[in-house]
Amino acid sequence: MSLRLWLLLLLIVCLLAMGLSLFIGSTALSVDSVLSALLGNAAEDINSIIRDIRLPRAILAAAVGAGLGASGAALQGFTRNPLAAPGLLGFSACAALGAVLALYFNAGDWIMPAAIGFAMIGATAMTLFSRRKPGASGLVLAGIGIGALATAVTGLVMNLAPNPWALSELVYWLMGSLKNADMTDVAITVPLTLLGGVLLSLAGSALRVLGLGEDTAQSLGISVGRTQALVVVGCALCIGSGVAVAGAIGFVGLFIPHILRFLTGADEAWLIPLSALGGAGFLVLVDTLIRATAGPGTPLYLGIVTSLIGVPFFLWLAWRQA
Amino acid sequence: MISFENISVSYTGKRVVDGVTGGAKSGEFIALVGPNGSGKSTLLKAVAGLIKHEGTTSLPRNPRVRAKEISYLAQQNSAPKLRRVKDIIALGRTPYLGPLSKLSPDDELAIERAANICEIAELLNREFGTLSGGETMRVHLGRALATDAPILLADEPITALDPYYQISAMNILRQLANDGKVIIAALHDLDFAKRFADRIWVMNNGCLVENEPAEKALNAAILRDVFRITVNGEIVT
Repeated sequence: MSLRLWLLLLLIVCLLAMGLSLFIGSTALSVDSVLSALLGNAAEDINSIIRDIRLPRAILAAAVGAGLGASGAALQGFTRNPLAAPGLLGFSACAALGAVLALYFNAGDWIMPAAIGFAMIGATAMTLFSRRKPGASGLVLAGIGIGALATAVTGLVMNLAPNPWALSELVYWLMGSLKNADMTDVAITVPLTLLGGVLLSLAGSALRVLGLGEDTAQSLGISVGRTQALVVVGCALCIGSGVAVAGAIGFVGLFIPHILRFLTGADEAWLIPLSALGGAGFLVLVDTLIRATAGPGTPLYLGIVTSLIGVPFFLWLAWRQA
Repeated sequence: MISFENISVSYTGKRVVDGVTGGAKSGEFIALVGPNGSGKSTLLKAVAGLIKHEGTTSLPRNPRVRAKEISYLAQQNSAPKLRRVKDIIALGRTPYLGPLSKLSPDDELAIERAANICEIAELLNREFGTLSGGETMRVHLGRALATDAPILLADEPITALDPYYQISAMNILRQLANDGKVIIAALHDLDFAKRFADRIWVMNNGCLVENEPAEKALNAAILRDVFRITVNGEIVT
């Protein structure tokens, strides 16, 4: 199957999943009422359910998943390391630290700018630490170190939480969820994710050449430093804006590119859009599944479910490849 | 065709290449020899413009323009295992391609020619991960040749190969020089250097200590002082 066909297939899956998710929730709705609510012609409460709750949630799940998938594909391509992912290289940890600090200081409005800001600070720090010799080994070491620091400071903030309720708020937030998604989040996250995705895609053809090693790529006119900057800033935008609305969602950025590389045989450049669509579809489906299975009591958290589904599949893949 | 002056490279304060000046004409095959750590690889990287260095070269400064003038075959090469051989060789056309542009008929022709020179035409649709060591080296050489640059720098291109592939690779490099390219190859095998190259550059402790026609370069004094061996292949004690 050609890669264009894969791209189209994943896009269709993604749109179908988003469509499906509009029907899932505590209120059962008919096709007619969902469609007319999308156009704003249904009863006010139905309009609100679709336009204020389910649609933004579906769009955000897609945007966050796309950002995670594209970031993972770009990082694996740049580092030529199958373990590289936004979670491992500190992007998620830095964004989460920003959000946790905002929560700690009771500044709910600041979660978004803090998460994005800290992701950018983390990205800048990674670039500075690997400045003497940009490239895979430098970025991996700097990323892991900065991620570990951010995780430690996040732990410190939780340690200093004034009371158990504040602590539980932080912990739940870190598990990742889209339950409070609204159109304001969409208006911020979607453009930032798109911008990040464009930067990552611009690095695509250079990532393909970097598969030959950094010296060889450089000899072919590729700038390793410029490619690293595109990848790092692109990831920071995607992950920062994603973590800001959905919390830390693990594993999508690691296993979606793997699965798609395995299934499609795509190179580093193609894998970025493919993983964006794959991640988007996957996260929408998981979020829909969570809502479909929601009963009374605490709903499942998105980040927990993505890992629970992703890990066995990933291990199966590792088993097959070994 | 290519010349460089006073090339020096320092790593953490230590001079690894110290004021090397040299040049080569079109059609010349240069063997760059010297003991381990003498600075051969570093000199090649500096001339290719891959690392920070002092001194000047005759090559264009803009990396994309320079990439059309000089191709570089690294000592350690890698490529994604699942990639088709043809796609790897096609990466040699990178200097001619925009980010989204497809291979032009010129590109296809250059790939085909490189594949024929390296005798890998029948491997083009294979996955890279399924190739043997000798085949992977020829694919990397093919990638370097697909650029069709007038200058090729090759860093120990035959070190890990069996005798058959060593000789076949040296034949390819010799033929390329006969066709008018400049070949500068770092080698460890002094007999091959003498047999295939036009000139031999000997490096020692970061300096170019000898630059002579192949038949004259490796005299007893150089072998003793630089390589610590005798003409009979004994170790100097």
